[in-house]
Amino acid sequence: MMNHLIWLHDEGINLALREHPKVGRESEVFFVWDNDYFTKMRYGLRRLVFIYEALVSLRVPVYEGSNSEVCRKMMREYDLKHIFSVQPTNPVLLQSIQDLSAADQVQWLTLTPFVDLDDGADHKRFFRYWKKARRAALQPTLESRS
Amino acid sequence: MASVCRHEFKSRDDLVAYVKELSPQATNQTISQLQPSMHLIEGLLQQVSPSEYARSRNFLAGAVTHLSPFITHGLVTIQQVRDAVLAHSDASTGEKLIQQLAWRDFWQRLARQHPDWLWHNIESHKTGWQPDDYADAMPDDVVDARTPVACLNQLIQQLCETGWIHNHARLYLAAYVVHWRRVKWQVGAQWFMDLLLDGDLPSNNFSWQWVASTFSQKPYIFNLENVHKYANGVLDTAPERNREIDASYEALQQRLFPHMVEGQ
Repeated sequence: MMNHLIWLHDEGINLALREHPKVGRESEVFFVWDNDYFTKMRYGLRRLVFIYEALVSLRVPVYEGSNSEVCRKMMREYDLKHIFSVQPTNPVLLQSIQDLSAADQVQWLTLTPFVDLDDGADHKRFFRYWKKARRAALQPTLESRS
Repeated sequence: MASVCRHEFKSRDDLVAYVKELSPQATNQTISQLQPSMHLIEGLLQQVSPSEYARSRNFLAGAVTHLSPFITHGLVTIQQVRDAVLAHSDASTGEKLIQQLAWRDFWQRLARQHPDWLWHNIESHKTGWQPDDYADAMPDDVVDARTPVACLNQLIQQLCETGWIHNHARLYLAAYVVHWRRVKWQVGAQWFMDLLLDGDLPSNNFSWQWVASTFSQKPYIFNLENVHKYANGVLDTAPERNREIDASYEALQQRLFPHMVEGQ
């Protein structure tokens, strides 16, 4: 019995998300082959083949369509109120599902950060960041947190 | 329900043909020899050599990890790479490699805080030139690897054919495009994004801004002596085929930035 759906996008093709404490074991992953998004990003054949081969090697189901539409259809199909995903950094990718995130239909999975720093702090130069991050960065990663 | 795409293929050529069918709009490019799989990633993580990396990382043939396309697409995280580094070495030996991972974390944080900075000048140029002094298009000879600089042509060819060049080589090309050819960094950044297998918007675009001086104290430039040292025989660095970059830093600075005011 599948309880949760995780949308994998091109910044987070990672099956370990199924082990995230927020989703539990009974979860399924999927990827959307969104040509509008790829076109906006000007992804060439080399990158698209790389992404597709990664998805095939991990046996991730791939659906053709727009990110937003396919996520909606998946939610309807499995009678779910929301999907899970990792919040992308790329504004174009975020924009492609803006209607879903605005309607709270996407729940972001928080990953253990590389270093635990106050995200409000504006470290405009790397070495300011590194001064604060160095000690934590040189430690092994802690267990995942929810 | 949306249609499910194929997962079974007779060969790699069959898969490539299918991706072409799925995305006919994609620019035709040479396919990378890298075939992503968890087996390959685990192998690369096993091979990470923090001490070799620290010793040779600036050399174009240095012991870099080749994990970047996998990190960009989330197949492996920088946390996992850091853990592999610390499994192979103590923190002191691993620091150079972990610091490079930290650069990626830094760029990501910055992009989350300021997504508008990804494509806009963060600061003014420190080159003496104004934004409008930079061109809006890539010169054809750069795109076609026919510049007057032989070693850069080799790097452009490698970029076009494999989708990967060493980070030091990226800095050389970015500096050449922005400072020698005076092209807007955004144009160069998009050119890299079009070609790089590991192109990651924050790392790529903020690095271009760092080179351009719109996110650093001064413009990054290089010369033939530097390329000769770090290419260590893998590029054509004969002076007669690389005249444009064969000068001292002082001479290049005067030539490239005649209106630059020191300390501005």
